[in-house]
Amino acid sequence: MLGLGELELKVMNVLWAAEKPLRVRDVLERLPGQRKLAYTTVMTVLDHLHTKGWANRAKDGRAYRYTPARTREEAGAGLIREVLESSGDADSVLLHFARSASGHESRLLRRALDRWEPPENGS
Amino acid sequence: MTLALGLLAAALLVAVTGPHYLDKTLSPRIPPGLALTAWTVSTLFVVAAACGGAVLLGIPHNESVDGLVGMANTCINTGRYLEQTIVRVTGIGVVACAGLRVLVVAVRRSRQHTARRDEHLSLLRFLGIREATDPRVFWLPENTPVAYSMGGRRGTVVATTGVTGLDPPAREAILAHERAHLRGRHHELVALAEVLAWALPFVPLFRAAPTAVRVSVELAADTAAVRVCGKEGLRRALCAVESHTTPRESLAMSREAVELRLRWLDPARQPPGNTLRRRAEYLVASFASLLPGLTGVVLFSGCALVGCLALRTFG
Repeated sequence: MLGLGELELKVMNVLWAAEKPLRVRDVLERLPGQRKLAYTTVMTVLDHLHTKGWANRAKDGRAYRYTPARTREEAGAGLIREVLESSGDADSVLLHFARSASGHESRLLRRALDRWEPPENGS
Repeated sequence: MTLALGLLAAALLVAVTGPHYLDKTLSPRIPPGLALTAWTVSTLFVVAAACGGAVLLGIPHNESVDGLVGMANTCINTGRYLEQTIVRVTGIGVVACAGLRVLVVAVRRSRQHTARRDEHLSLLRFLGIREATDPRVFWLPENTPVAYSMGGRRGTVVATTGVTGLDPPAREAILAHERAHLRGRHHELVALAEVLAWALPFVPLFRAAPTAVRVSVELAADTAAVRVCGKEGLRRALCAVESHTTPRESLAMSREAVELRLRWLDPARQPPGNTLRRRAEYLVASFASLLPGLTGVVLFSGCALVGCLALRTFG
């Protein structure tokens, strides 16, 4: 979903929390967790995020400085859009509040209702 | 072997005739939770009776089991060895093949679901705000009012901040609806029905169950929401969310679904507010759902007894 893996999300989270553009080294320092990641790993992740359009970068001396290309709110809206688009699928992972009923479901409901209150026009 | 065959016959009976009588449980007169119970108990009965029958067939010298109901010496048990073996092998083989297929589908699907749920949960942890009073609820910043729930061990309700903008009864109705899905284990009930339908779509009961279960869980959650904030709250919630239809679905389809749910609310019998009474109703519904199956076992045993007596008298 959203095309982001767990590690990419963690890095995006660091970029979102920062007030200024960050170098790879800054991101590495700010990443939470007991296990320290390799510098090159974080660099690759940031490079992927840039390629996927999630992060912008600008050259600063010999290194790049990264800023988020989309806000956290935009990412949240993207997630909701994906959920809405998939909510028509016959899938029990998510139950959606106002999921539109499939043809079978509507027919079943209508038949049960008509048994209870026969249609007025007698059709 | 009489009981074993009786169980298999009962499983077959419920699997074939179930959709016809269970269809009647979906009615505004009957609380949807009870319809859901009837479908689920009947489905589980078919699975349990088929497995039980196959296991009994596999037990060597299983006449002693029939002895429990005084049928150890019926002609089914005293028949020829070859015929008995054919019946046993066929019975066990059919059930084992079906069971294996269900198992494969269930494992594959459960893996997919777990992966999707974990991925979704990690996104929510980073993008959403967890409610302080109820850690199962996540809020996502988005103006469109949307709400959904996710099952599993860590059941979760997700709502957008657009929902907080609705008036309080509508907002409460949406959250109560989603919480009812988690409390009633609705995701798991839908998954059970779907796994069986995918694995064995030629069984009439399994083929019909997913639609009926999906409709019943929505109506059951609606009923729970009405208990919390009244029909008007749910009506407003449905109308507010319906206007934000999705790109993949036509507006007409989504409007129709909401309209049907609203029509359902009108004549609905007010479910008893008393928890003890509700539990008693569920118990009665479960027992009533077992009756056709149990009748099947008794009928089969009776026919076997009569048949054997006739054979002994006239044979």
